[in-house]
Amino acid sequence: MSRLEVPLIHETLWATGDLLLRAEVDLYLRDSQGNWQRQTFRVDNGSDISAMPAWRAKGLGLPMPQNAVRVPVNTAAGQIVMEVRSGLLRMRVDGMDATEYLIPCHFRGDPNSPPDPSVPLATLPKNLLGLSGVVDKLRIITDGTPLSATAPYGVVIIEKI
Amino acid sequence: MQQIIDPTTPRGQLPFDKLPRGFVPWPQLILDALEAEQARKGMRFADEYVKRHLETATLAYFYAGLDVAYRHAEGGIEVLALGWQEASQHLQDNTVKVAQA
Repeated sequence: MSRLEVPLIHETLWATGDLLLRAEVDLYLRDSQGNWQRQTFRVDNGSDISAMPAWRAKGLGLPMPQNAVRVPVNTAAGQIVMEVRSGLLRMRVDGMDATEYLIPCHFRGDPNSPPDPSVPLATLPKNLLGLSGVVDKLRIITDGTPLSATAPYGVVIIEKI
Repeated sequence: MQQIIDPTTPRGQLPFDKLPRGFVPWPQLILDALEAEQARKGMRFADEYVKRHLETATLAYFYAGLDVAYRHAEGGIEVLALGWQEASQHLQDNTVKVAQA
């Protein structure tokens, strides 16, 4: 069985002093030329479906549907209407065996218009590894037990099902 | 996903064109907070974890949400480009990491 443990990352929210934790995993995504493109994804059990910005997918040469729909999306800034292309990612997980997985993904935003970097932070979408089409292939467990000096806040465990 | 925007950081306070480029040393408050956290937990974190934390915390402090092209440097990072349009020009350079902060 292929299994990966990735240490949780801690940060400080300077405005309040709170400790923040997050889980990230590196995925290799197959582009239209058959090459692998490495990208970091936030492991997000709160996301219904995986997502990545459409302009990033285009820049990496990933296959993506041409047709988009406009759907409301809840963000930290409230609900916004976003252009979404419903497609698939062919991916493998860095640090695990070479199994390729096909997972559903929403490509968000206009592929031809990366956002102006001066726009508000909350409108810059991230790569998210969500639930749909993922958790039937990969068991994802967040374990906050401090395991060692290499994982003082615990790990996210990813296992091939 | 919940994304908290920290208004006290340079990213929360500076316009895009004022964000630092070139060599960016680890901010002293991040180093101090790391020391305090190790003291609170009663353990020294492994070098590998410390390096990753310093990198991610520094990127978030200055560039949260932005794509950044950067190299590892002694005592910090070397920032080559900010924003997807600039940073993506470095995607084929194996000596450069392109990541969203």
